[in-house]
Amino acid sequence: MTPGFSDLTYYEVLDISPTVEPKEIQDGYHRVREAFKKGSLASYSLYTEEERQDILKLVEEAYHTLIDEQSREEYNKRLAQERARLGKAAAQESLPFAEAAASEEPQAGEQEPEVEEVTRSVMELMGPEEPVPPFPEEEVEDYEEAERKEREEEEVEFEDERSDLEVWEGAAGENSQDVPEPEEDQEEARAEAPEPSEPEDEEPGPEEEPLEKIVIRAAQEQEKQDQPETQASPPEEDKILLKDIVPAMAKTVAPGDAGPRPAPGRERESYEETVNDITPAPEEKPSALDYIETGVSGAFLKQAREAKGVTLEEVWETTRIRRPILAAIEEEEYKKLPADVFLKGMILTYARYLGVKNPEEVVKGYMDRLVAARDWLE
Amino acid sequence: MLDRKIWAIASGKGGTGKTVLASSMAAHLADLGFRTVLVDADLGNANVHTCFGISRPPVTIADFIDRQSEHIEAVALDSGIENLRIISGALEPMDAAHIRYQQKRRIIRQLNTLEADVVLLDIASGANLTQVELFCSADIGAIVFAPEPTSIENAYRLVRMMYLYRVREIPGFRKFERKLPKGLMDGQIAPMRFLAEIESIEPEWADRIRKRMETFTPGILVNMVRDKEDRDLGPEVRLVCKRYFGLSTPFLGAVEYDDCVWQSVRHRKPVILDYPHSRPSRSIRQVTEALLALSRRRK
Repeated sequence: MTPGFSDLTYYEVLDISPTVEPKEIQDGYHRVREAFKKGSLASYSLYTEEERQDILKLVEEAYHTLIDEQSREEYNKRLAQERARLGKAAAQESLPFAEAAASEEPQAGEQEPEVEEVTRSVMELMGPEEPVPPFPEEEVEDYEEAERKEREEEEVEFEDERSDLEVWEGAAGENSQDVPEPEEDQEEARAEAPEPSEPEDEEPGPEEEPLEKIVIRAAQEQEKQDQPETQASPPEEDKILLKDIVPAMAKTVAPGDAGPRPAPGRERESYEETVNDITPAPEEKPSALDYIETGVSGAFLKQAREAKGVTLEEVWETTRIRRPILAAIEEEEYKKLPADVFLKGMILTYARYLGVKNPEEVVKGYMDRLVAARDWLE
Repeated sequence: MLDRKIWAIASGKGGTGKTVLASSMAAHLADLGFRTVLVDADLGNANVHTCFGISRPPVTIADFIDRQSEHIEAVALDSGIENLRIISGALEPMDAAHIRYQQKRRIIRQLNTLEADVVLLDIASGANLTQVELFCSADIGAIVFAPEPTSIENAYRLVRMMYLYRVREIPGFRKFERKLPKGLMDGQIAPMRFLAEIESIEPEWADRIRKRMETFTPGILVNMVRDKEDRDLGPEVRLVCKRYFGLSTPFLGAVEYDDCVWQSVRHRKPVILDYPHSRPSRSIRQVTEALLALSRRRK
């Protein structure tokens, strides 16, 4: 590990106190990530590319462990145990907390085959990723490449965010047939929400992450999934249930009311499919007024945001959706909205950030409503 | 009045607006009622006096170095502002290009005897021995950088030099240094790796160095910020310093880029007096107060 990072707790990695609220975990995460992202003015002259990648990986690990209440609790426990143990052993050689804790993790021998499978799927996902160029001359090209990618990313956030997530979460069971629990969706959404559109920063190249680490993390994920539902569900007050707030949603999103739609629980949604999705089938078109009452309104998003207690400014900081656009989305000032393809990505990002239960359906609902409103206005 | 009297302002690279900041900070301190002496320690490229509308200072620090004035009080000029005096830097680069170690010590010694609550040193940009020595002799310090790669790179270089200087200052280190592998102290190594190396040779020394560095806490200050990203560089650099150097470098604040600053330089007045309600002026007041808070903290 990079000098200066080897003995840190996850809290120290994010430069936060162990007692902070989730909001501050996010803030710490963003600060550290900004400080060590590719080309960051604050760190480029002091760390090599490999060191920087290692640091970012550690930052991701720390963030994903701490942002989830349950895994944070487990981590705290491990940390306390480790401290107690070190205290007893008079701490001759200080063992890095995080690594020691991780090495204790995979005691479950019977999980081996699944873990292998998961690892393979993770490796597959990471396969196409290009290795870090070893020569500094290529570095420059890489920057440009990164910039270009970033621009593309903004346009097609759907797929990329998804694959990004799969890599980072360890993606246990992601590709398997198990239908994820509803809580899972939301947790993912929450964990993923703050990721802005520059995944090339954190996607690890295949050769950097030691295999054991992936396996261990995957095992942790698996373990988490295997636990009884009662434990796995986050506290109720954190959830914003879409259907509670917008009863009309039930109507809009009922299966079979609008053309082809991915089955619930299906993870990967191709871009084309989604585009097709928003084109309303003409024969299903009821009166315009009816239509506008259905779907997801900007007011819903606003309400969800207020429930979360964040300002537009804070949304911008995390999602990088510009404030006037956020406002236009919430106020339904249709004329000020960007083109649909962009808008969809933004709403998806926004909905995930807000932690709504089914972000994809929010996108669908919002777009339905938008299309309907346009029809009605014209 | 204050626990720490000598303040130093330095930057790794020129053009970061250090002198403008220092003159405005001094003016603000004077306004707050602190008897302040602003010292142009940019020996050879002095221009603090210009910021106060003085065209040709009658005496400069060169007169003190030449021993034409025995006491440094004699070269302190009235700035025209209540509570504020300035000591102009040497005007002829030849005078000051190479001042000897004893001369530096004499300056530092006498600065402490000045009739003042705060002595603010405006140190030349760069990371040479003179700058490092002056900075390290101050009670508190601030490192200024602009939000651009070259400026930050050199700021780190300056911090690195100071780090090595501080390590070498520890009594007995020079002797211990002979035991170290060659090249370890050449100024290129990352302090954390350096410490790990020393830990493996003689753990007590690693402890001693860590302890020493606890007392070395230069503040950092971003000047000429234009947007949020620039402003965020302050906390980011603080974090990197913590991880890379193992130093705690409090972030003092960010000062905005604004045309009124160069206007004030043209008017040859500190911006804080020329445009007291501008954003940079407001930020400079905040930064000064952050430094005041640091200087009140007991050693």
